[in-house]
Amino acid sequence: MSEFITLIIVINLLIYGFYKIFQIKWPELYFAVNDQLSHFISTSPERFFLFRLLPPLIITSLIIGSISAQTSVIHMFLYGGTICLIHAFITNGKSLMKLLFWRERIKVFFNYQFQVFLHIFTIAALFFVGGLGGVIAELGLFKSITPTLPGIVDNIWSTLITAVASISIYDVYTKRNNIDVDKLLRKSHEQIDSYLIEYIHMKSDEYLANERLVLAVCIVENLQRPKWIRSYERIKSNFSSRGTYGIMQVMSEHWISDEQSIDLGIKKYFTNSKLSYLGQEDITNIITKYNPSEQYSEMVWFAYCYLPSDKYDEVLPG
Amino acid sequence: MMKYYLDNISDGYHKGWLEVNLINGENIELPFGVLLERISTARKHELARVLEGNYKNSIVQLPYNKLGNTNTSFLSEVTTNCKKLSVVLDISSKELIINELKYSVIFDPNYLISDNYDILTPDFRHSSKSRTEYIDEKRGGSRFAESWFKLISSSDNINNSMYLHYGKYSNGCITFSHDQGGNSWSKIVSSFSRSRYSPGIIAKLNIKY
Repeated sequence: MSEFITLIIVINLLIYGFYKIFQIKWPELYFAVNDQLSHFISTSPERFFLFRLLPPLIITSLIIGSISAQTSVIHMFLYGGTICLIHAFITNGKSLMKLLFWRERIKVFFNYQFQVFLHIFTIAALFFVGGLGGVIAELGLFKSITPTLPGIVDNIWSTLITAVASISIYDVYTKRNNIDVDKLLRKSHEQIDSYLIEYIHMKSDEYLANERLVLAVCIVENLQRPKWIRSYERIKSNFSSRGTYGIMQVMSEHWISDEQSIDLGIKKYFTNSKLSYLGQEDITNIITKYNPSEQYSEMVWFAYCYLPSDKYDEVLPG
Repeated sequence: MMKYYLDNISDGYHKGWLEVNLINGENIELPFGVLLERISTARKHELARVLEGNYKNSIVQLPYNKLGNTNTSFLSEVTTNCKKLSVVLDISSKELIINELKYSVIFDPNYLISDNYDILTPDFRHSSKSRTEYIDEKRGGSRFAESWFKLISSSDNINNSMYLHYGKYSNGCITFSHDQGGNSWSKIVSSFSRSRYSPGIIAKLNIKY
């Protein structure tokens, strides 16, 4: 029992230290472990798997392999799984609780259900990853590179001392919790295929829609449901056809492509929006019909502000 | 050789400045609209000579703009002669008049030592002097708040650190106050980016008493 508690503390401290350094130095990466998981996963699924799942796997397998005396694969799986599950509850679990019960304490930037789903998925995945780490330790796959117990103890102390020193220094010199929304929007903008941007331009012209506003919606939607998620939605449509599809997430009885969703979305919500000046209030009114969430309107406004005003043909105020 | 201007950096991410490398590897930032001459294009970057401003005659490596999963250039061709703006500072009404459009500004007339000034292209990013809300368009600021235009007396060329800028009034400068919102400042910077009196000089500022 004492060995199990030691493992829980050691592994969770190491994982915590690893992510703490990222939280301070690269806050945009830290989205993976905190409240804004969906931001992170939507910018790059590969990064999510590499950053969120791989480090706990490696840390768990190395530490369990060095410390634990368990000899059964099942035991090791449960050992590793439980240890990572505790880490998952402390991070994603905490955010999930806030999302479910104290929504005012957490900023829901995007789709609420999607964010809840991602946290649940991450918790389950971390349990599996921890278990896998335990099994790898039992099978001795990392044996040649696994450090000895005294070596680990030495390293833990030096890591802790370095981490504490680094955290204090970074805390002084960096702005904490400074999330660069423009950076996220740029990332999403970069990922929208150029032919879709051209298609938005063409269709906005056709329906006299405010192109900057339509593109702002697409940037926000693409952040929430990037291309790879839209591909899954296509697969999902084989089982349950009704849903929101395409880059503009337009409700349809069957799957529709990005181009079709742009066509339908512009026609239904943005026709003639180019004919008058649009201030923040006007934009909020238009977007509320499209998606009633306050956070969503706010994010679209952010994306609208991010886009350069000099590149779009717009009616000026006055 | 064909002239180009630095374009496609007026979004909220770039905020009117592009990070480029000098050929010695040093990292610098060039302002929106600066004139360049393209030397060559390669797979990962373009090579260009800066034709005006702080880095005049420097050769720089420009990255590509990676929008829409394709690489496009940050350079746009200068197809017609840059337009010349008329910029007048009306002392009595405390207005800056740019091609007949009037904007309220703050300044101290005691600092005005000349009847006309050269408005130079932005020299460097004035980040430390720009408060967060000034640069944040979501909170009524301007994405170009860090682009300041140096003013040099046309007659005696005195370098007295006088700027036309956005934000909070500072001594000796002509300030476009944050209180009136950043939209107009963004439009001014956009029109300045395409206007040239001569290389490095955006326009002449005439003082009207």
